[in-house]
Amino acid sequence: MFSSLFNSSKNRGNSAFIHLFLLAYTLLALFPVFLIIINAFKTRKGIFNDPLALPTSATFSTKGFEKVMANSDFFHYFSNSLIITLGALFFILLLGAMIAWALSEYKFFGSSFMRFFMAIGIIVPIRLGSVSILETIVSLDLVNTKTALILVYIAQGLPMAVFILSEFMAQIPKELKEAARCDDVSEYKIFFQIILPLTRPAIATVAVFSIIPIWNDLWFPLILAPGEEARTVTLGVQQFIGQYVTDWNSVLASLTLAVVPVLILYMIFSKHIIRGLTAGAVK
Amino acid sequence: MASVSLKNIHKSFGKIEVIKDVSLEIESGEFVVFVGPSGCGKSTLLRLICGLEEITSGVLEIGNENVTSLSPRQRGIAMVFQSYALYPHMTVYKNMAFGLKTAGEDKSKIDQKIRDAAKVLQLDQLLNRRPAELSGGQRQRVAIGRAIVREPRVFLFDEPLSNLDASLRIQMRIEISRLHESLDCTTIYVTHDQVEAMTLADKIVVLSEGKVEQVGTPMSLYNEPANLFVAKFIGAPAMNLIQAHTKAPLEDNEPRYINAEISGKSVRLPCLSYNYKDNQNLTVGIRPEHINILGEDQKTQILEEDLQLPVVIDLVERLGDVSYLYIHMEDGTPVVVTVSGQSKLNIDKKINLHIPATKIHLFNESGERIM
Repeated sequence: MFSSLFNSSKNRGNSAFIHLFLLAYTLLALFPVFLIIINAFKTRKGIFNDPLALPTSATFSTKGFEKVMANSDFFHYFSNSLIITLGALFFILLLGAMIAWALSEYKFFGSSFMRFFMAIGIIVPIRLGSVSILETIVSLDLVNTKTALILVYIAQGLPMAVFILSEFMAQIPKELKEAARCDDVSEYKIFFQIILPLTRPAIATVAVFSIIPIWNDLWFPLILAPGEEARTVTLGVQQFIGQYVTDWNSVLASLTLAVVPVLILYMIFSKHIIRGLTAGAVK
Repeated sequence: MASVSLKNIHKSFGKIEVIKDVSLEIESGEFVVFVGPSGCGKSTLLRLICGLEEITSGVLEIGNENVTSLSPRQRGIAMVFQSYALYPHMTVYKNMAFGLKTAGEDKSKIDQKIRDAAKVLQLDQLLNRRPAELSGGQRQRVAIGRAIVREPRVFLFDEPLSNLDASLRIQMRIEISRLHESLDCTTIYVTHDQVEAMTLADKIVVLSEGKVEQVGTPMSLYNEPANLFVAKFIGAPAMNLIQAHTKAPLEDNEPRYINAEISGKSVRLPCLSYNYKDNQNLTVGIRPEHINILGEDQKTQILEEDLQLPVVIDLVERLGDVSYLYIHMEDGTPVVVTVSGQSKLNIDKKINLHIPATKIHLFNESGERIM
């Protein structure tokens, strides 16, 4: 769609403008990340003297990383974050795809209410329900567990996942399902072997959208799992931020390290965001 | 192989009734073509037989077994879709194997079946390709192959050739015909293309607005259309339809003629028995190839009851082997005449048509055939 827009000479000026705008936005978005990474490699003095400067031989230091690495708790936080993110992601994608398929393919009692219910989930931020979520988690005796966070994050991610996936699934040619039904293929097999593979680009999109808020979240770990056992990276970093003194080297180093897994996950999923997977199915 | 029997089938979408009381018997091994203009319900009827749509009322039997409320997978049918509906993420081999694996068949047996089908359809070289890497004709063959390997009781084709270009369509038409000869399987085929219908069918079912207009062999439909709709639909160029009015029967009138008036000219129309009154509307049908041009063809024998009409030529289309003359009668009624060879007649020339009485089709006021 965009390539055809850019190819026509008439729109070349327009396309240059769009690119310029996107470039500016990219710089703006990357600037804080860039700032964190360069300062993570500087001495404390270097950070405060000139925060915008690149590390020089005089200011270069990996003291922050050494401190973080030496702190064995950090890897514990790290694995907590990873387990929670991947666990929640797995269920968001599986359940989201199943709900989306059910809503787009079958008409059943309460299906329109279900759709409406999911739409509300997109509109209303989950944090508004923090109090009752906390009450529920307490009554389930799940405080300070990873399970509590995974459950909450599934609830947080599902509505958007269902919304995106059901739109996408509605576009899958209905002849494919009909052909499969004529071919004596069960509904489960149609879902897992035809619909899911064809929905892969949308699933990758949803995965990328879901990972980042979960990984970065501070709110729910803080109120649901502040204990040592289920502490996540974002919460773990807070121990370096004191009321009077903040260990900026460690904070920035741990934040830099925390970017890495998200980056890797993002690269894995973005590779699958490819269009035209259904080419050759019909016509 | 199985017979298919439709008994008083109705189908409504909400308040709109799209299939109105269709009853039909299809014998085992027969090749039946549903034909009709778009929106006539032919695809819906096929989907009802397939089980993709629910039958509102009526009974459907396949092989003398009531399958009205069974799901597609229980009916023992295989369908080939207009859009092929191949699974895009699977190779040709997997596409064909997919339905069989589910049925829990033996692996080597499945493999054998697929290899056999691939050989018949010349897909041997393509088994490891994906649908996106195939041409339209090849995709169509894969879709047919996927149906064949299931060894269904009934084959269903939903306009399978309409996405192909003209030359490929003719080639695939011949292949489907040959395939039916060798498999000898009950086949129901939907098309809007009457050439496909005429060439493939043992039996044609002409549908219009959800009703069966006529069922019969291609030639019986051509030679004796039951009503005006079938007369207009079957044959290209379409049958010429000329309005006529009856005139009061004379006392000494021979009973095998109807006195009538065409374009202000008194004629006698041959008819075995038809009780008519004064000034009734009739339609005279005559196929373009049955009209002769007086003076052009010396061999024409003119009988007393044959019609002769003066006309003017509007347009001449020469296709090489035949020429189509587009002409109009004195009252403006358009007529098409097919003449063999390359006609030397020119536009605006006045000629006389000769319509042999034996070739005339007669339809009454409500469009039913009377002769």
